[in-house]
Amino acid sequence: MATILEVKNLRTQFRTFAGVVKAVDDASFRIDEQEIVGVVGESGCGKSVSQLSVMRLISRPGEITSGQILFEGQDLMKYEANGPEMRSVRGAKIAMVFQEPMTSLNPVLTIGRQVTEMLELHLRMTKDVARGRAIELLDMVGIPAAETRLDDYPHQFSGGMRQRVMVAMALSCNPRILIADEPTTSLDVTTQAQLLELMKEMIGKFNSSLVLVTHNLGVVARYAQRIYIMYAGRIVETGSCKDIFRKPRHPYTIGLLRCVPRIDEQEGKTLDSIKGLPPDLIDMPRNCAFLPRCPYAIDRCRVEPWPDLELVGDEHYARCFINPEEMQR
Amino acid sequence: MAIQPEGMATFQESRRQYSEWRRIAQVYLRRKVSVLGLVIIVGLIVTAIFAPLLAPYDPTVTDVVNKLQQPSSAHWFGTDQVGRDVLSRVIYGARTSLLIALGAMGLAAVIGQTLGLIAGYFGGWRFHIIMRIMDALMAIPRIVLAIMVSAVLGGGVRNLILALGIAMVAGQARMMCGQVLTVKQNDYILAGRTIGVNHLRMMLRHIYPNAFQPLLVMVTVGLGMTIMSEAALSFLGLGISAQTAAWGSMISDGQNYLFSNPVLSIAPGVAIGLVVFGFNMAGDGLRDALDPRLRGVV
Amino acid sequence: MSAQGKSETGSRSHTQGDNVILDVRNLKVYFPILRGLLRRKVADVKAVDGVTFDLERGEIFGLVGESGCGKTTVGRAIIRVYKPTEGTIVFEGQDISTLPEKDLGPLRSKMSLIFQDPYSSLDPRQAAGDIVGEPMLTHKMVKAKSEYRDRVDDLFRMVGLDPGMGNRYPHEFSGGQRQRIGIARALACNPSLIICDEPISALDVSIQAQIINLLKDLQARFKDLSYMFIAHDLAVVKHISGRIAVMYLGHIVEITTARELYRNPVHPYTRALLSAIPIPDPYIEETRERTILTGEVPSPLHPPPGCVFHRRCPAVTPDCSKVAPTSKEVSPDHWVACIRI
Repeated sequence: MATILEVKNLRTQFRTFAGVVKAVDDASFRIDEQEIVGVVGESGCGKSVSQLSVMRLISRPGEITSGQILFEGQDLMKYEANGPEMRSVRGAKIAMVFQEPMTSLNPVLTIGRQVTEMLELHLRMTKDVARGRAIELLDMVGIPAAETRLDDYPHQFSGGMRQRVMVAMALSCNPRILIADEPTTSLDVTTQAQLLELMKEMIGKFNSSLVLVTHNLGVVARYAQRIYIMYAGRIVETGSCKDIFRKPRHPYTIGLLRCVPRIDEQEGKTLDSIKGLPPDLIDMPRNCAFLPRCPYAIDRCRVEPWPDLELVGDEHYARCFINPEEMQR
Repeated sequence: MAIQPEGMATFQESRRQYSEWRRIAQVYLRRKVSVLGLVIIVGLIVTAIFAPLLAPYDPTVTDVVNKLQQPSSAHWFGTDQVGRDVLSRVIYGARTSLLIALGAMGLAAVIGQTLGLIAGYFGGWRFHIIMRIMDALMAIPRIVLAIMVSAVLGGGVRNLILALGIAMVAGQARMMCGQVLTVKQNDYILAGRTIGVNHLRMMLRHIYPNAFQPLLVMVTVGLGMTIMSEAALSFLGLGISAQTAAWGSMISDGQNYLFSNPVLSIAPGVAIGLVVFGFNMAGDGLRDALDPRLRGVV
Repeated sequence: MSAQGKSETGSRSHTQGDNVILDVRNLKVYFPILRGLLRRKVADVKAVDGVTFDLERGEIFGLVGESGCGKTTVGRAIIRVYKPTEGTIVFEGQDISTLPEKDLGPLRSKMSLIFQDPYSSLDPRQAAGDIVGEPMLTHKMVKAKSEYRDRVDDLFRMVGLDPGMGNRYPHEFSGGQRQRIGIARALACNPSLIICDEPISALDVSIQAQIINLLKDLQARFKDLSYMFIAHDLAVVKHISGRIAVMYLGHIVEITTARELYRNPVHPYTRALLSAIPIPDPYIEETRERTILTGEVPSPLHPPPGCVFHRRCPAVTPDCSKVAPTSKEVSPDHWVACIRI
């Protein structure tokens, strides 16, 4: 499959009162056509910021300080963040669904108005055509009686329904990439399952790619083909979904997999928690950011700077010095 | 589109090694006009405290022979219609103004905030009774209310404090009540309940300290407004006796000589303007510095 | 779904006598909706509508369900933040469901609550040590100042915090550390029951395990301590709990042991809930059959007639909208409220 988005050496920083936060530090990733990519990490690891950077949605006090964002061969970094080129990409070619569906919809406009606006703006549809298309879209994402609900306001929809509307809106211009930033975190388990199935089905229908930004390992295990694991602003491991789950090669990935209770686990099992806290992204040391929490750390980790991503298997990269046998206990 | 990346607040807050008040001070001091406001307020306080040292003459001693003098090196702002030194009266006027402002605002804050705290914390019938009374008070323009109270009580510094204080109770109560209702939403209030913390401790230890910050802004701006109202009442003759130096009554006295001796009115007028400006700017600065939305971002 | 007024429903057959620390029967909590000038009641939100279960001393009892199912309300009614509309709550032999506020003092020291949000559950203007010590001062548990300080230090150590951090303020701690402070506060008066209301769902994945392990360790250390563990995440509830009750729209639909619930779920809602949880293993997920429910949880203001789940139930029968199911024991210690059983 051809690559549609390639991000190279992205650095995004936030100037704060306490100092410069390196939210994303030298991250490179790619999205291929029609694939589902998982970006996994905890809050503050840079997973959301990296995707917002792709959309050029970083605003003061944040700033993309370096890197290339190659989308269909063009470097998005060459465009003004709010210029016409970027606006024709954002929403139309790369669309985003956010975690909080309540704040992503304008409360004083009807759902119909918000969906048709996208269509009129990006696809230059007339009002009537846009309305017809909006009904089609809402119908497609499973909103019952779409035609009448078009005139409802966001507060008349439940959380799950609002998120469906967001998906419909995101897909309205047939984007190449749909970025879903923790799309189901604020939803219930059963609604979450509905919505994820819907998104998978939809991107299949639209031949788009999906980026699932999440902290939920179960979700990526089910849906993603490739995974990026992020920690402290950096990508620490990447590979195919199966490799990451079966042959994890970074201690953080291993820790994550072991610290989550699984519904199919043996009763009476204890969780191996990762000790300590995620690091402060201000004044980070040059060596591995996971070092203070790493149970396998060796002397080399303390002395040398954080290694680059190194090939450890088929399309499988990890940022670690430690011998894989050491981690197999 | 301003998007706060998730987690930003988390790691900043966890790592904050500096105190909240230091941050507030830094944000405040960044705005020059707020610093100017603070300087004016400090100037007012210093003037009020050291009035006897700063004033060249006794502000109450009349000297009919030298009445209505133009500004000179002996009397910088000239003398008034009974020969009192205007500069000295302006300096002593700061005392009166500050005393009345602090007294009235303090009175309003104590009564209003207590009522607001009770209404907001308990809710129910207490809320309805207290807040309906406050609504009724709010319906009367502040200055009219103050005039009514001082008409009943008569003049004098003490009664002026009472009049202006009562006029501001409702505002304080309302603001406090609103704050309490917000603070009450927090889980730590529920936690206190499940622990069995009694109502008094709950209000004083948990709710008040978390609710008072916005009121600080209101009190600061209120001080300026009180000085203005006090001047207005004095100007109308409902204020303080002619003996005591007060800016409002000085303007009032000076208006008969506006063309021959404009300094009589201008000097206290400028003093009022400056002080009110000072309090307003300080209030603005405080509002920004205490704004929780700016926490961590700046 | 639980039988109205049938007291034996949902209780285990073998639990009798003084080992039961909490016995909740037919608990109902309705929130009135008031309208108009005279604040007339126009309707009730039936947040909890007839719930029966009991808790043994030293047990971890899980209460699982989606948002709006009433699980939090059950917890808060037990700790008497809410007054039950109907039903009894017998805690350590005493019916506390109707006790007036002023008589709740002793209860407040024996039961405590751990909150979901580690940010709003600690007073930002109180130092960590004072937060932890407040229950002891409130209940006059300690006589001397030194005893108080020692006890606070002990509690800090118990939850894995450095006692030297007692004079710091909540904003200086991370989310996980704040949750530890909340746990220390909950332990302060040696309670016999701690209600944990979504204690980990606001925390980061790597911190969640730390808190789960801490809660388990503490329970192992204080043998008589019971938890009621309320959460929406069935995997977490199953991991920590001995027995689990599954709630849906104000009713308990199934109660059984954690093991049985996973191996042999009976109620269609429990099955759907289990299958909605993805397993972090792509090989298993590849072949796993899933039941995806349609529709959404109805409003507790207008619950459906009959079985409240029937509109979403994949195994619905025509009778489901007519008959409210009662809880039946399908096997020892396994109660299900479904008319098809």
